[in-house]
Amino acid sequence: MDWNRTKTIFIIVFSILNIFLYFLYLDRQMGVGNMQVLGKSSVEETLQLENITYNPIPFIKKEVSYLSAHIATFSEDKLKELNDQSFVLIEKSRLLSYLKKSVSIKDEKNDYDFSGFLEKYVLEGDSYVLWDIDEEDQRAVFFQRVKNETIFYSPNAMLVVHWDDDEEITHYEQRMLDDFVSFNHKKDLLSPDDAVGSLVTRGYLKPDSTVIQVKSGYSTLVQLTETQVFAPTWNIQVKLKDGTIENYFINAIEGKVIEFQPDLLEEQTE
Amino acid sequence: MRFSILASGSTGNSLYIETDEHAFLVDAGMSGKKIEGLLGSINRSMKQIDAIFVTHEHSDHIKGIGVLARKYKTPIYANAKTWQAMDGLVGEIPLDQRFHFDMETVKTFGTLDIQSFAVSHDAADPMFFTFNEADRKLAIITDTGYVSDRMKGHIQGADSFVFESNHDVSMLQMGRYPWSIKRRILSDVGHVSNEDAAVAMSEVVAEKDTHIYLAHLSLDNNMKDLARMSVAQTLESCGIRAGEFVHLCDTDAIESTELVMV
Repeated sequence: MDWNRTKTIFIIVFSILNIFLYFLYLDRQMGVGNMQVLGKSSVEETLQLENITYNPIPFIKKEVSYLSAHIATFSEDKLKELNDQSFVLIEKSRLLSYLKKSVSIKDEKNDYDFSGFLEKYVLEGDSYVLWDIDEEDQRAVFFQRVKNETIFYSPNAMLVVHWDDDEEITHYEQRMLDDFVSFNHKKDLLSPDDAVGSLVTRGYLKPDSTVIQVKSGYSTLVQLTETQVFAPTWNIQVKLKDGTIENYFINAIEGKVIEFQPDLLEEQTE
Repeated sequence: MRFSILASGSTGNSLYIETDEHAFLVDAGMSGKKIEGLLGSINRSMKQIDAIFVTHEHSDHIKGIGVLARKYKTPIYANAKTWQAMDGLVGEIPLDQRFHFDMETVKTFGTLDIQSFAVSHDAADPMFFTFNEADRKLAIITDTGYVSDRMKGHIQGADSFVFESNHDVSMLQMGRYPWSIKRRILSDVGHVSNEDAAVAMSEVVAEKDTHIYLAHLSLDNNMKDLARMSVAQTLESCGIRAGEFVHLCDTDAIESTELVMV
């Protein structure tokens, strides 16, 4: 046997094999690269294709943490601060209050204005922010805020104000959270662009709609017996072609879409 | 009797325990190098280890077994089915270092009695241990889908517990895991949730100073603060106020706990 020839054949065969494997490797690497570009561009393409308007929001990378809070109980001392109203306290944490004086829900320009009412008649009224006005049912829903961020749809952090046909407040129901504590466990905050992208890729956004606002806040992650744990949450407001406003919520750490039960507000205002 | 939880979680588990005469590891679920480093962080060394007890063959419990056994000639104890299941996962371990520690048996090392007991997990024959020296008792129970009355009987009245508090059920349900994994974790052969762990704890703690280390926390479906809060509130609803005689302690996936007396 000619060992020299065999050796040469082996060298040539393995050289060809190595070149082939190298090309295979390059091809795969380029494939991965292309897929990443495709992922990002597919969001932009979908936005363009479905005529969805979204202007990217500048974002500085930061770390956020989960938050815990206790369901507040209304102490007798606190309740003494309430003027011109009679109230019923249910399980120390749910306050139903009836106004003895007539308080209008509108200002001189006939616009809704609850600021005076919140300041004068509601305990820690300035920590609530208006979320929704239901003219048909004559009520307004307010969500509690913490660190200037809204707590979305937590039954224990809501204020619901009711009025009569004369547009004067008759009664309200209040629940409150306190003892807010940030967890030590910090994670990267998802960017608003990624949050919107998350909705797009899941097909939540309707054609011809416009993303009008992306706001940060908190939503319930876990409900324990005495405590609630909240996750940072993006609220994405979208205006549809017919002018209707839709709200979407995304867990701002995991990127998962949060769907609140639609009857939650109904239950709270019964 | 003193112990330190070197690491706890799905990235690797190992517990160090010592008496005046002996030192042991329960599981070695990280690389040999990491375990050496973690032992170093409590001023101990692998050279002092008399034996490693293996609870089951999942990689987060045996990853470093082979390397450490070969490097330090450390005897390894496991039950027959676990030995069989470990075959091919830990490399060659010389026969004279392989020892059997059967389920529901007691082994004595000097003043220390070690009792094994069965847990419910999707491994060949998973078991955990209680360590008894004089009137002091340490109970280790993680990697179990539920805590049966039999398990409770074994761990009852311990002075220190290393207790699984794996996940928060709603975090797991809402999280990114595929359904098959969620179902596995929630099953009877998966892992114990914060609440279920706390209910079981409430049935096994005696009215004396007790330390409970919340262990094997899921990285994705739990947080230290949440586990502590959830366990404390569930214990309270069962009539036990955390902080009074029951003290809840954290464990970490990459840092060892302080070496403490049981």
